[in-house]
Amino acid sequence: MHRLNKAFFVLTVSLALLGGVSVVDYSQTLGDFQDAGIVAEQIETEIRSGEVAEGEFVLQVEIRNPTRFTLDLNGAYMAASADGDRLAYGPIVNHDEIPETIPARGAVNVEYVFALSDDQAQGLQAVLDDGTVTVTGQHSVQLRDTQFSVSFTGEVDG
Amino acid sequence: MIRRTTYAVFLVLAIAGAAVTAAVGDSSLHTLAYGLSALVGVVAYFQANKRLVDEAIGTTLLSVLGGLLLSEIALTAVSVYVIGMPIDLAAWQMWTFLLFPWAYVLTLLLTGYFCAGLLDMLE
Repeated sequence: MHRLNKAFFVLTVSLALLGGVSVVDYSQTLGDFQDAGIVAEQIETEIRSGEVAEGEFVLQVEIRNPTRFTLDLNGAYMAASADGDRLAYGPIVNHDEIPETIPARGAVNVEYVFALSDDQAQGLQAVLDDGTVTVTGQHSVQLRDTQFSVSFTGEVDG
Repeated sequence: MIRRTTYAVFLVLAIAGAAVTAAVGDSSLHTLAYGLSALVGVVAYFQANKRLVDEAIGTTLLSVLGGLLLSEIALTAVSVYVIGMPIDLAAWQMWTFLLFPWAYVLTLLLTGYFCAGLLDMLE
């Protein structure tokens, strides 16, 4: 074989190997700090239902995670509003009962419980009785050592 | 003489490898990828000049385009598989991600090719 052709094969094989190594390396570093935002954007949340019970606002949500990474679920925060008025807000109070992780390539059903004051409970119940409440919130999520929040929004009707 | 398809397959893989490395590779590998791209350009010139490849120019051009396409497909596939990104979004993001690496790789390849031609002519 001509030495130029030998050189050609050596060069192209080196470049192809270099590319292969880069792609594998890239797929493994996805999910590190600089890419956590991309992962966060893939998480989908659906609010299944919500009700006021015994001074608490109980939300049933489904969190879907299409990524290859298992995420730690550390908590959540929500604000409930109707017609622009904020009716209730706060972090969840049932930390010990929520699942610890959102499985990779899977979905998990979570019950979030938020504590309400008497006024908030009455206001929320009044709106839920004949209308819908808009809930916006954030899950507090962790991927390896990176903490980030995943926003969600949805409607709850009574 | 190398068969046209063999030449094309190797060149497609090399261009894709160079583009992917330049786009997402470790920063220390970028220079290596660019340097090797320039050398591929030099070798491709002499191969064409000495008629070591069938229809060298056309095959090289098509292979370079194929390599760019393969790099786009490879990175899109990684995004879709690993982080479950919707395919259209992944394709678009990787396209913007790859534009400059493509420009660099092609520039160096052409520089190698033309510099080799120039030196060859001067001798």
